[in-house]
Amino acid sequence: MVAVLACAGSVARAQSNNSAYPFSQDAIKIDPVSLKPEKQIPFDKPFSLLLSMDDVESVVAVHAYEVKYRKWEKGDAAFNYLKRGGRIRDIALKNGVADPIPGVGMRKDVKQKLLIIDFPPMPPNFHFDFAVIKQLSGAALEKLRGYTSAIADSLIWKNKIGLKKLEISLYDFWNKIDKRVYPGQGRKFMVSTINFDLSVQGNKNTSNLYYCYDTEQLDSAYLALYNFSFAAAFPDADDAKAIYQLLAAQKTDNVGYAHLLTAIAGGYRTFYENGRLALGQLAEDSTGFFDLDQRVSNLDTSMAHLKKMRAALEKLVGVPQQSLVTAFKIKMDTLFNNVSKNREKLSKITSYINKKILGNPDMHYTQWYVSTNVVQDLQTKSSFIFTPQVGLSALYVRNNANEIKVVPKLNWGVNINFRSIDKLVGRKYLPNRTPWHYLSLHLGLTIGGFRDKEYENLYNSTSLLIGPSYRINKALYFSTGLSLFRQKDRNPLINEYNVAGGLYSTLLLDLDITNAISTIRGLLFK
Amino acid sequence: MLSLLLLGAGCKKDEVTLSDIFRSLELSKTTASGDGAETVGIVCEINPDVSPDKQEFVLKTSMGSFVEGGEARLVKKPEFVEGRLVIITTAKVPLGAGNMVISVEPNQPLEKTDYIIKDSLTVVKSIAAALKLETSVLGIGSNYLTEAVLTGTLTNDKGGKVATGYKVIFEDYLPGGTPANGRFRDMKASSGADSKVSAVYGAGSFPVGTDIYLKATLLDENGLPGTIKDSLLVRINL
Repeated sequence: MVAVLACAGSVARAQSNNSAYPFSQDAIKIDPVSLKPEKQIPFDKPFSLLLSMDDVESVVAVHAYEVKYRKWEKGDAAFNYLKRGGRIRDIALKNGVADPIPGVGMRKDVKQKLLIIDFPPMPPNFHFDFAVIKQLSGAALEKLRGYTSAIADSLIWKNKIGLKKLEISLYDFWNKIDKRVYPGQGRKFMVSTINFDLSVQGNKNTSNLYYCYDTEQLDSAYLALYNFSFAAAFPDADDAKAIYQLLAAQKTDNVGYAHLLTAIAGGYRTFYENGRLALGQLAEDSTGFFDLDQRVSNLDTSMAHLKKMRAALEKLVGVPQQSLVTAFKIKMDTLFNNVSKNREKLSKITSYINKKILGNPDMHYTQWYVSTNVVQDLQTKSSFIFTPQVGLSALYVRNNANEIKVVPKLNWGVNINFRSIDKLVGRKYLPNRTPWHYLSLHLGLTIGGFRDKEYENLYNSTSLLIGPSYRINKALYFSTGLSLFRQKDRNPLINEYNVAGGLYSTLLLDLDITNAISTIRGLLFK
Repeated sequence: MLSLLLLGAGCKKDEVTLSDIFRSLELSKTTASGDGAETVGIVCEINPDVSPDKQEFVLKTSMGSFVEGGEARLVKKPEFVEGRLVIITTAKVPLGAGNMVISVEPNQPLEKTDYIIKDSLTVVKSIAAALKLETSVLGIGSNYLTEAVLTGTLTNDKGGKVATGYKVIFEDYLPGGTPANGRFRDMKASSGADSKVSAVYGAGSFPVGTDIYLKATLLDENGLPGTIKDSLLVRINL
């Protein structure tokens, strides 16, 4: 059972080393209702996702996976919830297996009931899902216990409960708590495959559910349960009825005896012996499954009743049927001992099963956070379409004597990026990068006039620079292209200055960086 | 588009040519007779884009002179005439022959290149077609008592002056063709800029009333008397 329900076995990854990154780590809460991040996930720097979680201590691992989108394929037809012809969201596979994103770690703040998932820097527009893998607890555990009790009942009742029905029910249950969000690939996350064979019932070798419970995971306990013979030590119905009447005549409490008579008369003795019912419960409640813990509790209740009934017998002193009373005391003691033994046996089995379930590292359930986690893409950085620049340029001009001259000038301007881009992002993080991701159009203006009278600025004290710009790194750009200025007419008898074109090259510094430098300087020399 | 701009920016520029400054230089004639009086019309069209403060040009002629100023160099500004920026002037051909070159250039100190537009006309020699002999007096004294000043004026077929260097011979005859054997002095037998020849003539001892024919004959290139001649008659009156 445990093996077939297993998720990925590896657990928590190493903690992220924040000091290795140049930026402070962003902490982003996951909205507990929508399960979406409350703000954009940054890229190019590490970040942490914060999940409020009451049962945070039960988390054993967090795995994140890259998400890819693919076209609908014929194989997807088996999954009717996948829209035909639609875009299918899938986990990216590596060698056919889902490969967790390396460097993802987790921390648990039990006091704050907070799960902190640390992520390494992600590239822009990176889609990922992550799974929080927990130990079974709470409702999930209770539910599973229901199934184990059902198995126990089926054994106690010698397979009177259909295992096929149990298997289907358990399969559905696991699909709910261990969501197979990637149909057709869900098995990629499993160490072992859930391989229910619903066509064969009752065959230990092929019915996996039975097989697991009986021979693999819970073998000894269930085998003991299967082979356990509950003692049949109930007193004779006539004797019980006589005692009941004696107690009534003595005006002594005979409530327990009424239930005992009912049990004996109704043929429900086994229910009381194995704890499916407690003395004091109606026989109609005997149908259905009972939790093993409840079964032990029922036996405790029955034993308490038996103690009271036994104490009531001690009050029957001086009655004519004294020999009957004495014999009945012995039968009640025997019954009490048998029930007590049954109770001890079931209690041990229950503890064993519980321990087995909780102690099994593969008995987990997975909580997926899907379709909500997208690292900020480049479009979200639209403010960087325009980036202000300042730089030193060289204008290559041809004078009227056809000689090439170099005119150094200061210049400033803006870069118009061909793609919305975060200028702080490392190039290696650009997905599907093309030259357009680090090429931009530079529109610049030179500063100051020309010393050579042959030239004048295009407009007032500025000339125009226009050309492609190449991003060298986060702060520096190199641009070369066309410079437009005015040049004296080559005709010596014409005094006019005409618009002329030349080449330029310039090394540009990002103005935001310069602002940052200014800020730092202000702080240092304030 | 950008590539084209870049390509354009890097291209070598065309040199400034004469046509960027001058549109044309036109002379009214291609040949002229070098009689020192014929004029040649000159029209030089300037590129109208030339800046106003640069619109001053120097006109030069290799021979002859400009009517304006009377010199071989003329500084003049162009004017718009019928939508054309032109310099209009005239030059007078010299007395002589040769190639008369008219040039126009900006009156600017240009650093590297001179921009001079030129044109020329052929000034042909003014050929003598007629000779007219005149005397200062109609009667002279015998025995060299008084003299007559003879002046021969050479003219071309248009009545203009002729080229210099034409030579004439002066002769005197008595009626009947006998040489009078008078004396010529201060003879200027070769024509000058005034297209004239001259001599002072005195007669020998002849009776009063004697007529003497004075004759001037133009010599040809070989120094032989030609057909162009003129004569006059003076009488001994003292």
